[in-house]
Amino acid sequence: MTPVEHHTTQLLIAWENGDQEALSQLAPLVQQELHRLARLYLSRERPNHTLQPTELIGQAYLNLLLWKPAGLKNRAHFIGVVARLMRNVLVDHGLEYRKRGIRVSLSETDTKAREIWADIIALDDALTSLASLDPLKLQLVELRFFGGLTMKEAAELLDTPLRTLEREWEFAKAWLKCELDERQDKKQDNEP
Amino acid sequence: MNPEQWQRINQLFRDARELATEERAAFLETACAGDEALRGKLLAMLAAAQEDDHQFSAPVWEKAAKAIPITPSMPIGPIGEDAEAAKMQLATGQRLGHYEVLNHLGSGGMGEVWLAWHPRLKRRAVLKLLPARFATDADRIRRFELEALATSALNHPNILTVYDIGDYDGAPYIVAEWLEGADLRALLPPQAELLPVRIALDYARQIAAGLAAAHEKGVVHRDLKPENLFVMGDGRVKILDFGLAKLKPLKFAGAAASQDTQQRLTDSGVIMGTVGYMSPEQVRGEEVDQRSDLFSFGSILYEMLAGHQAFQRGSMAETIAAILKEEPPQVTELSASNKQISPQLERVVRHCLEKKLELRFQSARDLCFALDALSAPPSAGPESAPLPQLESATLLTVTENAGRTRLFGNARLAWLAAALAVMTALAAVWLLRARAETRVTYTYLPLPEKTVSFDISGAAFSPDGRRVVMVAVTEGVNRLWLYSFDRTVPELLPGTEGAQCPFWSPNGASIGFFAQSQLKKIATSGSSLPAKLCDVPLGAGGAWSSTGVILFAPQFNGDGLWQVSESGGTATPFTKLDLAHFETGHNYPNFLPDGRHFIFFTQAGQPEYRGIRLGSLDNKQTSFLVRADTKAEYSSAGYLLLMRGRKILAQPFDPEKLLLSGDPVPVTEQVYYEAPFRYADLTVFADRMLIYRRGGNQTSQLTWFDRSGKQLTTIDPAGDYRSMQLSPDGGQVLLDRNDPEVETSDIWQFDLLRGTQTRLTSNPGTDTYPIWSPDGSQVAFASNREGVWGIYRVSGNGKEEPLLKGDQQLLLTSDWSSDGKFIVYRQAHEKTGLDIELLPLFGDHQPRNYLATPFYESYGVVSPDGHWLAYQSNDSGHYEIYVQSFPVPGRKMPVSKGDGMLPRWRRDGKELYYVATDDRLMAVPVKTGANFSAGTPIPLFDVGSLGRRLNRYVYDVSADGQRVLLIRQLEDASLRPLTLVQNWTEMLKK
Repeated sequence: MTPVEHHTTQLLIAWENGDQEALSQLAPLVQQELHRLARLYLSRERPNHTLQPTELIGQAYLNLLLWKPAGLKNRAHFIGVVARLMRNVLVDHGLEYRKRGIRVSLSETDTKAREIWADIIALDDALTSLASLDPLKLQLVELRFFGGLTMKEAAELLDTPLRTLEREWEFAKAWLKCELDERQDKKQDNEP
Repeated sequence: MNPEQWQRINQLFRDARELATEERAAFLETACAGDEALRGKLLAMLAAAQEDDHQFSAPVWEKAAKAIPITPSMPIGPIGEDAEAAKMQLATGQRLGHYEVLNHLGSGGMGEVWLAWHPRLKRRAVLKLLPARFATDADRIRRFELEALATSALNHPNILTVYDIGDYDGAPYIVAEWLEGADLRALLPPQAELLPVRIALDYARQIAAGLAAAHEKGVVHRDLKPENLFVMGDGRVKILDFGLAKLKPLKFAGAAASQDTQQRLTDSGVIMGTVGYMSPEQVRGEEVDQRSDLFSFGSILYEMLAGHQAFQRGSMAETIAAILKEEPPQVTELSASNKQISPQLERVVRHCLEKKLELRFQSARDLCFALDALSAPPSAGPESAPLPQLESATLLTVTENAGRTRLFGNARLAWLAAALAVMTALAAVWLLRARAETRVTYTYLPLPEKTVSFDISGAAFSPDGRRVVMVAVTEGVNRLWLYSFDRTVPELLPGTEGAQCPFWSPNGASIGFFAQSQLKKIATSGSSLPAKLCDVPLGAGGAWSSTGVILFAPQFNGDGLWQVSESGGTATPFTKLDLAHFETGHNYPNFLPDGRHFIFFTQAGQPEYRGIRLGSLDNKQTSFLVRADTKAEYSSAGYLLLMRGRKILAQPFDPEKLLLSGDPVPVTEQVYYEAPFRYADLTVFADRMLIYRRGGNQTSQLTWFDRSGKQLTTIDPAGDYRSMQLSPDGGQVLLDRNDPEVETSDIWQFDLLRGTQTRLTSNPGTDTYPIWSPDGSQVAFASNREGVWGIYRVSGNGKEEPLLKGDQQLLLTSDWSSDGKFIVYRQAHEKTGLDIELLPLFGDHQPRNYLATPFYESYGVVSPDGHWLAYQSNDSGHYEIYVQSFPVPGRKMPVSKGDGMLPRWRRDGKELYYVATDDRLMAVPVKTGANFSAGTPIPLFDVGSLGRRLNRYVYDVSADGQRVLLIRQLEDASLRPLTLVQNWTEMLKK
């Protein structure tokens, strides 16, 4: 553990034990962690578009502060929670976008955005069906897609040998790809 | 896909991947053994695994980035790798003056913005902490404070109210009123359409009025720009940041726009655009007075009318040159389409934008008069005098647009706009005027500190929609918590331990709920502890009528609704199960606005009869309204909100004619739904707010535990199991497993040694409550497959035969006596409720009654020596375990101490087990034989709420009593906190 990780873990434990002061110290660290997650995301600038990444991060962070489940075991677990929240926020926005998108005529950029949102919703849906079948794969996919963790980090968090996890990952990716394709096909079949 | 198929596909995929590419096809051909769907899936997956997987190479962030893009000119502020920049000075929970800092809302060049809370005044506010470098000059700070307070003291509707000003660690901060809306920047092109002239004029009049009031107190704004003007949801405009410009450390000193100046301006957070609103005297670095604000006002009015800035040019130097020398083109020339711009209006704009001070309007008050004189453009024809409602409609469109822009527009971190963008939710709704905000927003309800579990459900809006009561498990106990929209955290309602299914009194002063086998009520003021209304075995939903009657479901299955007075007393049955339609229970009632009619969910053994029924307090007739899978909620927006599976639907409903119309329209999907209890969290307030929970279906898994509750092994696969029994030799288990596709259950047999699963029945009816014959060679179960409930037997060869045909009353098998002579079952009777019956498997095979009292007797299980029957009954007001002699009943001997359900014997007859209502599995040492005696029950471990809530056998104990096999509810990996949707009816519009 690096000193920073150690510090975070200490704070999380204190928080779990009801020390509100710890949370205030934790907040900047969490913020940093979320920014790390958003790194790739922020590396690009796209003109003429709308929602800001700060808002997305802000909302996830806000949700995190409001939602205080006990049993946060360590920093990595915390990231797991954050990843789940990221998923929620993205899907909520996606569902809203879809509602909104249907109503107005869409420009080409909007069509692209709509497809992406549709993908995210489909992914969420596929993941939800994974939840009852295979919780490990679900967690893995969440951590990687929504939490931005590397395989190694995920292996540590899930306390599973890296090799096992790589096999799981290989299957999960292949399965999700097919699942998304199928959903896509079905959707196209249904659309006139 | 079921879990077996899932395991299989995992295994085959792995095996195939280990083979060389060319061998795979042949391998799958053999391995799939003609299962073409499986083979196709695997081939597709193997192909997908070969592909370049750029699709999944990066986090979803990457993808979402393309759909939620960035505004390039946005000051990035603390975001990014720069840890130093990310460091915030304030933190949640901190106190500044009287205010408590809650959530960080945004940061920018002008400092940090936080949501703050005044605990005593119970007032929300926005706190802005300015960078310390703003405070280099003590004189300036004092003047700023004086001016800000002086302006605020005007209490003018068009000026932001400042509550407090202070100093934190050398940095000044301001606490100001909380606003909902968007800054003017977000309402101007290119973010929005050109404002209609009358709206622009309306805004202009309001701004001028605010300026006039401030100027008359001698306060000059100095930095008037669209970012500092805030348009609220109701169309009211507020001027922000009076006097703040004075604090800016950099004064624009001269016309020379050197590289250095640009750099410094950027550093101080003054974006280039600001220059575009400066007056010529400001640009020249001269002293300014109120007339400078009027020039800035002119620039803003020009932009509102023309759709672009008057002086903004490609570079700062050109912009400054334009301010000093150029006349902007006439607004009327530019916007030929905008015919409502009169020459008079044009002249007002010009008059503001005069370069020379003495030619400009001399006071904001003069400007106000000039604007007022423009009330109607005289050049326009009669059609230009719009009808009032037309005007308000236009206004509404604009504010709706504004609301949307707030989240999806260019918010630029103008301080309040940034604040609002993030704080989409919680309370703001109450500060809005009705209908002003019509955008759908999502957020989560805050949960109490240390909430550990979502497994106990229940959330309900108060009648006025200002509060939500919810059940949360903290410190190992489920209690009621009250969340008010004007607070940040829920409050505990004391004395509500064990609470479930809360519902409000019509006046909002009390909440009814079920706990500890009682229906109780508690005042929401929290001034007193809950009071008992009546005994209720389990409780599966209640509703409180304005006529003083409470309707409730005594348990999930087996009975209709009962009624009791709101002041307590004797409860009496009210609705009757419709047996012709296989109804097995009435649950989750809800009153309609008249307080006499009500709706409720009816559980039925055939999916087509499951749904919402309508009843009235005036008579006991009820009628089927619509198919649904759990409770429905009526919204005063004129809809019935229903659920089918995991989808929420809304269907127009007339509460007076009691008629549904149109078709159900989907509201949202992927909602959490507890199939076993047909429960979902769903509560609605008018057209404003909707609460539900996202997530998947709850599933469960067979799991072995030792007596201390230590988990030993799990048995795959997970599924939706409802009841079970171990075989006499302990090597097999019978399960009643729900098929989510058709929502009916079938009987399965799991071999615990070999790990195989066999489906014993597959039938469109409900097959349930399987029991073993004493030698383990046969299985009996209850089913409604032939249109009536009956008992069936299936032998080792798979042959199924009916043993008993009953009627439409739900009939449930519970045990097969150890001598093989009787099957024990429970049946509902009209007069005597649930009774225990015996089916002899000899002689005339005619069923005989064992116990029939007006109370609920069920779950009769015969002792291994065949002399005693243990069962549960609620004749004391709550469920207890009793033992009587068998097969002829005798004296009733209590076994449980206080409460108990679901009895089981140990195979040697030396122990009896049951589940207490606190969900702990209890063990009682007993003696059987000629005489029965029972010792003191000892608690083993918490088995979860599934058994108690479902009132079914979710456990069995090994022959030696050392291990417990349990249907354990899996924590739903995709279960999430309660989602709050505002303006949900917008979701219906397509």
